[in-house]
Amino acid sequence: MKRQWLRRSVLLLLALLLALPLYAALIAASHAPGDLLGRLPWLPGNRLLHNLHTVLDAGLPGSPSVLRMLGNSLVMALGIALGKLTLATLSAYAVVYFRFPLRRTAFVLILSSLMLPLEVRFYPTFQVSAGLHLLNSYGVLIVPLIASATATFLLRQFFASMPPSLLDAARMDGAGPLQFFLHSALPLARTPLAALFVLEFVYGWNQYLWPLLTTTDARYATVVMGMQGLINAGTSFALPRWDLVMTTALLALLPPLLVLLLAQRWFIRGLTDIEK
Amino acid sequence: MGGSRAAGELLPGTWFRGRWLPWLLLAPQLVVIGVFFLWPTLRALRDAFYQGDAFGLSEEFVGLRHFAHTLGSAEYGHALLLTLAYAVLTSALSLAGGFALAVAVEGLRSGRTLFRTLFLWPYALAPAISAALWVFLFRPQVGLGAGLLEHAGVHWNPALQAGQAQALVLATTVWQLLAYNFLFYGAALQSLPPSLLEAAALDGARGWRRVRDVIWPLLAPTTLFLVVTDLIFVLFDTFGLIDVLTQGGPDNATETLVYKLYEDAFRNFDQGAAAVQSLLLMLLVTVLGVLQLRLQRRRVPS
Amino acid sequence: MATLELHEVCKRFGATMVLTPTSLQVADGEFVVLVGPSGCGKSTLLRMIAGLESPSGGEIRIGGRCVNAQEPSARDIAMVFQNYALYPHMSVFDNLSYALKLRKLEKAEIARRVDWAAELLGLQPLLARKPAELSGGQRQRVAMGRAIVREPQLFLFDEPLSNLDARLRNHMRVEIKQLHRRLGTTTVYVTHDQVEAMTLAQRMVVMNHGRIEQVGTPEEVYAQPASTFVAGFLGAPPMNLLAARVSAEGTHVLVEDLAPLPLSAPQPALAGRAVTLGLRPEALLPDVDGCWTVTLNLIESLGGEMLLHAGVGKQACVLRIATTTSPWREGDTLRVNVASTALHLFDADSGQRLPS
Repeated sequence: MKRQWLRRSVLLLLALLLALPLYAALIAASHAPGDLLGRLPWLPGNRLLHNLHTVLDAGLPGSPSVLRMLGNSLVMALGIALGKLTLATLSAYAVVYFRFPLRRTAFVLILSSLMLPLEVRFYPTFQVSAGLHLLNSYGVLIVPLIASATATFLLRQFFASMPPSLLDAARMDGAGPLQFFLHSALPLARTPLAALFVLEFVYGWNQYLWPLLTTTDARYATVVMGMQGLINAGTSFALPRWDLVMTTALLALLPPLLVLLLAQRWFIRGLTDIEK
Repeated sequence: MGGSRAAGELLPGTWFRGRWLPWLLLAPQLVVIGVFFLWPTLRALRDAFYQGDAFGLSEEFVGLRHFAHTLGSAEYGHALLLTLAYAVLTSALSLAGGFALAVAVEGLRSGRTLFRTLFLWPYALAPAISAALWVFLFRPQVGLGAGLLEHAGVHWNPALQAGQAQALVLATTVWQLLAYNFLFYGAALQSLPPSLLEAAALDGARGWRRVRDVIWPLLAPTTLFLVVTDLIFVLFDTFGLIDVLTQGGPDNATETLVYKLYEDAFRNFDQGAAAVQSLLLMLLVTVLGVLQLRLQRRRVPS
Repeated sequence: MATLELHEVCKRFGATMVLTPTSLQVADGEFVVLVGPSGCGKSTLLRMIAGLESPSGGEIRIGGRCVNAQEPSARDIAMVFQNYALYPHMSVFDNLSYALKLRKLEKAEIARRVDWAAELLGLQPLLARKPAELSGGQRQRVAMGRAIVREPQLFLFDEPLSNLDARLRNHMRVEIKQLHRRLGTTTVYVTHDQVEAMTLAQRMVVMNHGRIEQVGTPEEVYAQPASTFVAGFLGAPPMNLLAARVSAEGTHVLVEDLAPLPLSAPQPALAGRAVTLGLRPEALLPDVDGCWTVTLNLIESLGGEMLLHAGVGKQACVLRIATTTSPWREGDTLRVNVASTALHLFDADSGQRLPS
């Protein structure tokens, strides 16, 4: 019994220690910039709401509107998540429930995209996107990222694990491929789809390199990609505005964090179980 | 009409037969892959062998010149070694930390869910945001961490001191990756049959010994999988982290392979070098990716 | 007229012939059981009738029309699956009505049919539940209900009772039989359980290794098995099969070390031939003046009857005695009699039935 309490205390301490960067940000975000010079206060202050207001209204001088950036991030994250899920579901369904020539080739082709994450192909993909006049749009933020071998692979495994007699029964009942998809396959795939949505939303929101390259127009900037610029802008004054910078950072990390926390239970299950 | 399973097929027994419908379903993904994955790859393959002029009007075939030039350069060798060291250190620390935390948390009798959340949340952060938090924490004059280090007698200035910049990048990355390793070790521990651990306890292996002699070896597949995954993360997902933290400096001290590629492409406008480095990274990620897929199947001990 | 005709229907998977060319006629309203061990081809045959597999050769006719090219849903048939295949995300009502909805039947008609099937199978209190909330027997009934509401001309059952425990199985067997009596729909039923086959079938089709071994009523097949396989498959405990030889005159059958048994009619054509002698366990009757002497190795008491494992010469056999107490003990010798009408002769190599 005592060992459990000891263990719990140590773990709690470690957890708090690991949360220090977050805590420091919270302190900065809730104080006036003057309070942050010299020694950092130990407890959060009372300026959080005020700073939030400032950041969302006026933003940081010399950088795009934070509100706008948050909006762009949301559009991008939702677009990527929904796009990836749609494409992956359709592909997985086609590959599992149909027999047609070159079926395996198509699947291998999709899997091959695993070998080409963005960081590896960003330069030529940038060239291609520029050539297609896609730069500085929501399209370029979303479309080049919505092919997903992982999601297709996971959904393929899920569909393949459904009892074949279910499809038999549906065929006997007279259901065609689209009807089976809408009435049975899709509803039954709710859990893996939800888990994947969490995964892909976080992935989409947290994109850095690609938005940085493809949006020179401040109207399409996203909040994560804009982080370095925001830090520069915030610290270029005689009085560095770490309060505003950290407020923005907190805003930037909040949505994926919330999504993860809310969905934690079946996200973990989905991520580790379905992969088997 | 559809059909049913032939002997040896791995997919479910029955299916629909279709000529155009499956292709219609596959089309969106295949189009995206074709335009934004395959076409760029082919372009990079081609660009690696050509040299454009300053105005981008003409090109000449230069064979392997770009390869020799880039791979032979000192900067590339430096970036390669740096990235390697970075990856190995990060992986080792994250593995050890993630393992220790997972064992500790899974061994709790109650409150596991709470602690899992407490150690899992950094997973949701973008590396760039993690970097933002750490930049502030260790900003000379302002940051809490910087203050503590100064107090301990360290002249803290990562903008000038290469070693300090590297340490900062390492710490931030490990902090981020800990959650991921913790998650997977936790899942693997949960799937261990309790009877196995009970048998070990009966044999007299308890506490630290049981961890070392029974649990760690049993989790070897997970460890292997995580090593590769951590490598992939460090290689490919840390661009934002470095850009925010050190911008590759000071003096390229934190310039990893991907960062160097970015610099060559968008700061130096060296198309050939960018193409070559892209190709090499593609090769690297293919090897690692295949490895990861293979290991994923055996990730959880059964 | 819901007749079913199979003309030389066969199935190949790659190079393996899973079902050899098979022909069968099923009359309107008949209950036919396809029975045999796993891998004998019975399920494959059923799935071809259903349209879930296409035959490699031959023709399938339902109601006189060739259906080879037709989709399952166009054949006006319904199927009950071994693992029920209920839609887990739909309620019982929705499971029952799904096929009707796809056919765009009117709501009132759908409700009428579902009500009727639910009443027939006692499913009314369960209509709002999901399959996960039902017991095995309830799920089985929903699977049957789903087939019934279609009012098809042919029912197909694919080992529907094999996932139920023994007690439930007995109960459901009776329900299925009563259902058939009530509805009179032509039925093809697949099972590996010979008890199900014997009790449910109006006619039985015994299959082995992709071919039909025998077709007949249960009584016919039991009394006159066409091969050693059929003989050994039906009946529990199975028929005793002993190596033997027909006497030189063709009048008796000889088992080594034992007295000759007279045949019911002389078979000169079989004189001297090596045969397999089949004797049902209940055909060996203890008799003080019995012609054979056997040694008791093991006695199994089943309450109302006893199984005696005995040695006959160098071979073994099982006797079934309807008695509650045994005057014998293991190790005793015992004299038994065999009626000449109870002898079954099979060719020693092919296993095919010989006249006796």
